[in-house]
Amino acid sequence: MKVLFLNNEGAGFASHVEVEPGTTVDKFLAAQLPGRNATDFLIRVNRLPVAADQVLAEGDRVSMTPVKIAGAA
Amino acid sequence: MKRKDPILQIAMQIQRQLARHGHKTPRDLQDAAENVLERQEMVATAWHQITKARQRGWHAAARQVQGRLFHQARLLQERLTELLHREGQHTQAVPQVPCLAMFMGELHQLQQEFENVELDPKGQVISAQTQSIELEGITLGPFTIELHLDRLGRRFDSGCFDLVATEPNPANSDDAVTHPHVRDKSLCAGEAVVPLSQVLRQGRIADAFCIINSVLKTYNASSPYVHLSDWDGTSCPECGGSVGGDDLYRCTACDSDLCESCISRCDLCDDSTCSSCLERDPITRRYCCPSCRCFCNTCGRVVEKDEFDESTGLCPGCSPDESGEDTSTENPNHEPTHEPQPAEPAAA
Repeated sequence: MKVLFLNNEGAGFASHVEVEPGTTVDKFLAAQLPGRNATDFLIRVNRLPVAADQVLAEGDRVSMTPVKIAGAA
Repeated sequence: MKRKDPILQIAMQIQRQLARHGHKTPRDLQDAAENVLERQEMVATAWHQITKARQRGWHAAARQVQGRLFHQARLLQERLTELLHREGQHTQAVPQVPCLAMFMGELHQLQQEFENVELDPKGQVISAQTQSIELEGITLGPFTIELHLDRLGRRFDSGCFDLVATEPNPANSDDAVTHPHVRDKSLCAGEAVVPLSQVLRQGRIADAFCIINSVLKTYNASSPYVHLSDWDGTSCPECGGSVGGDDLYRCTACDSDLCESCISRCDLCDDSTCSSCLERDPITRRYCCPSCRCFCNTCGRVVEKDEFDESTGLCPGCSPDESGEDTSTENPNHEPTHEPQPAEPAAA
């Protein structure tokens, strides 16, 4: 099944990602951002906060925004 | 939904802004296309000349222009390559403008993510308040993030936003700096530049506000307008008091920055000098900076340079006067000197 993944880090791409049915949010993020800590991101599914063990559904909109981004002068 | 619903009105404004500016052809694509047409015309001109020359039996002239034809054809090939190179870059440069429902969803999400979200269709401003920002123990207060829709579309960067400190605690040295990365209500987005541009182009307003909030919650010590260590002012090295940038005075001798109470002046040249760099001539009782004082080679005391004899390196007290007499007794700091004794006659 496909979900829309909005990665608001770096180039900030948005893309449809193929995932296995039954994939949870935390497993999805681990696959997309290996080695990263989920607490470093604001994670929303269909614009709503979610639990890590929420199972993704076909067509879900998953967005993640870093909670710390370095500004400049 | 009523027509006057501010969410609907603002959503329509966002959609209109993105649609209005999205149809513009990027400048570099336009230039590349026009270059191709220009070269194409040059090739056509050269071929027309060749055809005319052959018709008139001017075969030598035709051969000469033929060289020009191939030259122009090679230039045309280069321009075509430049144009085709832009195909991948501009496929996503003019994205489809999302539907109204999407923008309304963004605004609803914004209301969930932030407090005090205000939608001002008349002023074309969306504003949302952050929680109080604290960085390294310094409380900067909450900020109101304002998105000015009239700027959106013409630009897709932090310039669309004003960041207003609602309980300002600006840097001591600069009132305009309310956050290490905010000056005059403008955010320097740093690492957020690229993602912010992407989300604004796609109309993802809620994500844009979240990105800006993330920048506000982060201190980048390598590139602030004012370092947090200097936020409450610079510490005076003499008294330890905290002083704003405008109230600091530099010692011309050692370059230290001191407060008004601790800075002094050289009595000779009037330069700002700290007390550590001043020494007093005990005779004239004037305080002298390093540039205005010397040390007597004999007694070692501090001598202001106006009194110092550079030819002998001596203070007035140690210097012989013009008559050759030693006037050292006039100097209270001097040990009595011994008069030179005549040499003993040599033994017979």
